[in-house]
Amino acid sequence: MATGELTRVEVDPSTLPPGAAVTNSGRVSAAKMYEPHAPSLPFTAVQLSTLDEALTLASRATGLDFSVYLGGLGAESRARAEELHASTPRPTHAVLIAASPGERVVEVVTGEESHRRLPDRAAKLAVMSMIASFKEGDLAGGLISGLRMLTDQAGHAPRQH
Amino acid sequence: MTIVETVLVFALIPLAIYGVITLLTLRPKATRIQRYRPGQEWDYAPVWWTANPAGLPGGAHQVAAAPVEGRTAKGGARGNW
Repeated sequence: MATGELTRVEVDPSTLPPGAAVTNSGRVSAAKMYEPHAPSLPFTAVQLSTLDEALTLASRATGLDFSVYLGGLGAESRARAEELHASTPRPTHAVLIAASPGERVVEVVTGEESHRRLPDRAAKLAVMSMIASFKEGDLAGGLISGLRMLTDQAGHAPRQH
Repeated sequence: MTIVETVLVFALIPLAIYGVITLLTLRPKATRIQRYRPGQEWDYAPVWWTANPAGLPGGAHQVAAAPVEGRTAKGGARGNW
């Protein structure tokens, strides 16, 4: 057999599953049924991209590490949120917004530096704004408005040089 | 135009059009996004979003600080809805 010569494996067309066929080159081409999968979160693509943009802009403008956690927090929601906060790469600058729609609770956790920039009063104000939207069932809108309020309250990042 | 033709044209055709439109509204929406309503169960897997590192001043290569021991939380707020 010469170099580069194609090998042909004879395939019996009667043994192929439905939707598969042997092409002229000998390759087996199989068609698969398209199965639309349900979305993994109740958000539209536009809401997700707005949230991503709000998160990135908030972190860039303030120099703090904003993050949004959406999921169960358990009975001890504050302790769980603080655990999550401690597991961030830079906890002193981290601002964690942890929302649990199942338990209908939202927690904002700030670290050492982020607490200096974002007093509890500012965090509470953002939480109240988020809750107003969450009550209407608008999770994405609430998170985005909360992020924007926290960004405005924290102000710009101090100059490094 | 006989009475049968009149009924066919002026009653059956409009009814057929209504029927088609009704069926269109009832077709299953497999990819439809279920809206969240307050008080409903949250069966989705937990997600944790952070800022896109490419959009931050440090670029995509952020320097990760050493993990801090103990309690890191200084303040914050909480709320229920």
